[in-house]
Amino acid sequence: MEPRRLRPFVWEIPVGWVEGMRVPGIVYGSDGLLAQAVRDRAVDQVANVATLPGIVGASYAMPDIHWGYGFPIGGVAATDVEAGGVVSPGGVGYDIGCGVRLLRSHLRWEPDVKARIAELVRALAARVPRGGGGRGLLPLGRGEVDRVLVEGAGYPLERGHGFEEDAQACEDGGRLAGAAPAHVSERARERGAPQLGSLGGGNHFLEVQVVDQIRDEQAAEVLGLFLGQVCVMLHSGSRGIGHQVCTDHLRVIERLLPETGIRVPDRQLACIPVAHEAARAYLGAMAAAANFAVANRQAMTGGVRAAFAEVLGRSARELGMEVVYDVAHNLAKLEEHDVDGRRRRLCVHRKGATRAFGPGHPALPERYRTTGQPVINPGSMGASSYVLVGDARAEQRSFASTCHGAGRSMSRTRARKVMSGPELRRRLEREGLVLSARNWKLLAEEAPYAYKDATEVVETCEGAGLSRVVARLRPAGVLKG
Amino acid sequence: MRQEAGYELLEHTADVGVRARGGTLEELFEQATLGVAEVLGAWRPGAGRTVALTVEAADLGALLVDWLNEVLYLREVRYGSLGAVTVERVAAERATGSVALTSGEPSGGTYVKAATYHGLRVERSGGGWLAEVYLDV
Repeated sequence: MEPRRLRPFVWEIPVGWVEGMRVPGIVYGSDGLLAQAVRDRAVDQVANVATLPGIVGASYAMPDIHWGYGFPIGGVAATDVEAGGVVSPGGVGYDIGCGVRLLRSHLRWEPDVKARIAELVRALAARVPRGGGGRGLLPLGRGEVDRVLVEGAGYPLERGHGFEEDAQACEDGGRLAGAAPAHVSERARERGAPQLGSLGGGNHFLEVQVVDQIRDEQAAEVLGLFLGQVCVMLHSGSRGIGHQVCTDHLRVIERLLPETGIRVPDRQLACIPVAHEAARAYLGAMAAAANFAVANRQAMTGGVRAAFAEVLGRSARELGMEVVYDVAHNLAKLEEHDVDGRRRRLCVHRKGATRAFGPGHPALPERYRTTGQPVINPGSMGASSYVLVGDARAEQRSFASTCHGAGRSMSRTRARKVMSGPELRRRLEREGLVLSARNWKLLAEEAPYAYKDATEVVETCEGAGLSRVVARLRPAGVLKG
Repeated sequence: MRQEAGYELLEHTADVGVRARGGTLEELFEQATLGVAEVLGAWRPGAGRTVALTVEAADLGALLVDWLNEVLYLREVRYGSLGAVTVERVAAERATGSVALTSGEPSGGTYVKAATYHGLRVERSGGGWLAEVYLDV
């Protein structure tokens, strides 16, 4: 069986690709991106997701799709809540609420920042904690954890870590409704409480970037972006609290499979009808962890602004360091969408995919009603990132979703074999990047050559009518998590 | 012939897997734990502080996932590395043993969020046991 080309950039994975598919798969991709997805078996995972009870439309995959665990990374699946639709914790993953935040500034690369970039990277490294464990900028006492789990970005804001208006520039106003801290275990709290305000490890990063291409002048103006402008991008998630919430609830739901009679082709796809008590418990805990994630990015925003103010000798307000947008790419959300001409309440899983509401959507902040929702699309370390806006056609094509990044194309082991960390460091530094890493040996795992071409990914999304490209940002200073 | 104990790391586009082998289920669980410790950069042989572990699950695969997630949780909240691992008994629905946690955060490895059920295998092989488990990193 072969993927069937429906129109440019749109491929169907027909029912029958694996046993038990309830809907087809739809992969958005260029010829090259699709070939990669077939090669690394991610397309099989798209087909596996299509077996989930209550799934409607199709099992979608964004152009940055790659092999994940259970769900493919880049996967979008919506299930009809009233028709026995399920939620699958694996469809969100272990880094619940992981996402990206972009800060703009009044600063220009030249003459404001170029000469100070090394100093800035050092100041950021000193101000923003990184790595697997360890303490964050705003470690929490046991009594404070519940507030973060419910209030999201509001908690660090109340403690003075940010500007009052920051929350308005976040998906869901920086606070996902329905959080139920009672379903977050003591273990999850123990892991996460000390870590609020820390980047984490893996592919998480903090970058000083420069806008080097504007493709949509009008949207760029609304988003406050201009050529030569210095911005800061933060990629991080819910740290240990999210990892433990997924572990705890997936364990419960996996064990309920015999009781519910649901059969899944991969145990990591374990799922349960949204109406079941265990699903409600998971969704409440997931929302709580998502609130921790946005609070985490908010707390680090305080550190970023302080570093800029310290080096440049002006307050972050004077530097115009405002949040453009903050959006998650690992969530399951209850949303209303039209399916077969009828409005339905769906549980939309986005695993390595970003919500992308088009212009006019009522959930958007007033400022972005005309442009569509900003989507922050990080490139790989050393490669360009993009700012996109949602396209209204995505509502019908992907339940209002688009890509989340470049997407890996090479394993970590292979990436290290191509070039050593120190070699890559020299190459990137020769290209003018200022780098900071905790472990130079592992730098090569996140090398640009281990990822797909971000330009091809965002242009495919544009060609498929999921999102539009507004601006390109090149990295200038990189702090690897 | 008895299966030789050991482990190897498996490639994955975004994550990493561990293939472990052991003559007994206890050896198998120990080797899988060593594989996870290597990924983390958290293997520092030594006495350390011993913490007893017990996990319960309906099958061997879920037992292994639970065991590894228990180790990951303990290592993270104790800010330590692994000095030793001893699996005393793996029965149908229960595994018991201990890990020694030594001081000092891991270095030179990759942070592991969790052990997953994806592609999970625990089966008899060559007179012993073989397991495959993928980690979210």
